[in-house]
Amino acid sequence: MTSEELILEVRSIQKNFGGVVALSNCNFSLRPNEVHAIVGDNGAGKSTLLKIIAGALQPDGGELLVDGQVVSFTSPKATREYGIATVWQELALIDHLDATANLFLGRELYRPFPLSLLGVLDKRAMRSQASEQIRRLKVNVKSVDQQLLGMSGGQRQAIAIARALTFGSRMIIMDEPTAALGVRESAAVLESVREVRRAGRAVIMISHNLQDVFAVADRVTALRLGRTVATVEVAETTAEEVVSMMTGAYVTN
Amino acid sequence: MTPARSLVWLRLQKREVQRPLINAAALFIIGGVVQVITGKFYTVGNIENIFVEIAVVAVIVCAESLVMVAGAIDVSVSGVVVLTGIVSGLLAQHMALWLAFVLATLTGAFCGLVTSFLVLGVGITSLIATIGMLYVTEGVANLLTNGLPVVNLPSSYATVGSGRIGGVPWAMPMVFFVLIVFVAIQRYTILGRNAIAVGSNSNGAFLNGVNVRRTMTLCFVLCGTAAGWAGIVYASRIGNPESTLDNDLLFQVIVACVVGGTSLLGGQGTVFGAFLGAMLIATINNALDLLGINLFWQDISLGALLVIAVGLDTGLRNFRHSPLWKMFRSVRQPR
Ligand SMILES: Nc1ncnc2c1ncn2[C@@H]1O[C@H](COP(=O)(O)OP(=O)(O)OP(=O)(O)O)[C@@H](O)[C@H]1O
Ligand SMILES: [Mg+2]
Repeated sequence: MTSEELILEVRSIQKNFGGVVALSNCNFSLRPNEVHAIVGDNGAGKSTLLKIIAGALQPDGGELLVDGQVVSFTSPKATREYGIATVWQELALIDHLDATANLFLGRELYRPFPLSLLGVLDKRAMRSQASEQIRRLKVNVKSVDQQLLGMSGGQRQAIAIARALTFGSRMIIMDEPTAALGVRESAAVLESVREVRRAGRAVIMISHNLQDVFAVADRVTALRLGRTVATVEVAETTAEEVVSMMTGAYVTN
Repeated sequence: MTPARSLVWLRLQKREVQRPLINAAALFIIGGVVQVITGKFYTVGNIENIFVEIAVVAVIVCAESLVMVAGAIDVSVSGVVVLTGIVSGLLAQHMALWLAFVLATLTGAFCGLVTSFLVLGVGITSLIATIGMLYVTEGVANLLTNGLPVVNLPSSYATVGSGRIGGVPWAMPMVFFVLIVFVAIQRYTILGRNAIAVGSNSNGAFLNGVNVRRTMTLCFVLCGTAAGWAGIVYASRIGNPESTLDNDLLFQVIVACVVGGTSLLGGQGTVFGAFLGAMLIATINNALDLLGINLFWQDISLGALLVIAVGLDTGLRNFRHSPLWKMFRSVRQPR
């Protein structure tokens, strides 16, 4: 597959934190309309790679390409025009705002001109769209007016995921989306990942759970000690092989 | 439970709603008691008095609460008040009064800009940066005047502080105007929303594309602007601006915010609540005055008010987690 057909390409990305080398020579690609899982041990550099793709961190070397064009994302906001949305490992929710405000955080709707110049919010439109979205995605909250403060871990995760599904029109990035969830909730998340792919969007999903990976992913990339070990088609691999990629026992054939 | 009722119930559970309700109730109860005893509280003259007394604090509180919701604090406000009071006086000797006022208010805005540079550019915590600004602004005011009051002012200079308009003290419509502007900013604009987001979880806000720097800068500049304008009102009430720091003012502002439900940890609080906090302080002081109680009690009451308000909050929260409350809830909402 040539670069032009890839929706995203990461070329020899490098990232250091002080003396710690978090990523070195990372390569990764995303086809349109695929679910691409990233696996690796704790501290392998998965979240760091994802943060670079999503604009929260800037790489120290290497290139990031979207649709074959080199891009430089200086902040998460910069990814918006590319239709990229992220579920962060730390969820990045605002406890003191309600579900509606969290859903639209950073992407608020404004009242028509001239009020838009003053930054006047269109609260009613956001509320009705949020209600609809939350009903459609079956997020289990009593009301979109409820503050997040008292919500359960699962409800919070569901809101973070709903946010990414709503705004990731081309690409959705998920950092351990099922980590805090029970069996039923995890299944629901995996189902929405499938649905997103059916709708023609691409998903990058970090997961520690190989069962989940084999259930939804098309390809899987393993990271080990800050390097991408290999990328394989899920249909052509086994759990043993993926584990060997993560632990370093893997040899390229 | 019907949707309408559950909505009211949701709202009532928010501290931002509870505190102002409690404050408003306290206001009227104190007023009522004093009215019964002295017969002088609910008179036009007295209500006007309360507004004139609290005007300076009320104006600053509106903006300070926004800064505190954003997770910062600005303690330079009393220094800015002194500086812009002096600046307005010195300029009023040479130019049209309105121009002097505009320039003095802009001086306050500039102070806010400097603060935001210290906090966001240099990375100093807001408390330390604004303590620095507090003394720098006072020092500059002293340098400008050699520590002497500004005299030879046009007679119209005193209008803002003690003049009347349309049968009420100038301070009354002015305070309401500032209040409405800031309540609108907080409730209806992106700045108010982003201030909560940044104060509650600044990294989370950043990850979602909120411009944290711009939000904080705007909050500090608004606070400087409000303090700048308040400085003019303050100096104009005295008649001759002086460069002495009024730290009572600073503490009244902070007590009003906290009593009004603003959290020092950020993310929580409303402009209107903080305003009611300021009104409560003014009402208590006024009540002590009317009852002929020694002035020193005002300080004691300010301290007590702060401790009671915060204690009530913590106590209520602990009560929520107590078995008694859970029993009450399970009876009220059978599941
Ligand atoms: N902000 C930071 N400052 C310093 N070191 C960091 C920072 N972020 C990550 N690191 C380091 O970079 C390495 C990779 O971290 P990263 O969070 O990407 O791992 P991960 O694969 O997501 O792990 P996990 O499965 O635990 O989420 C770790 O050694 C970590 O300590
Ligand atoms: Mg991680």
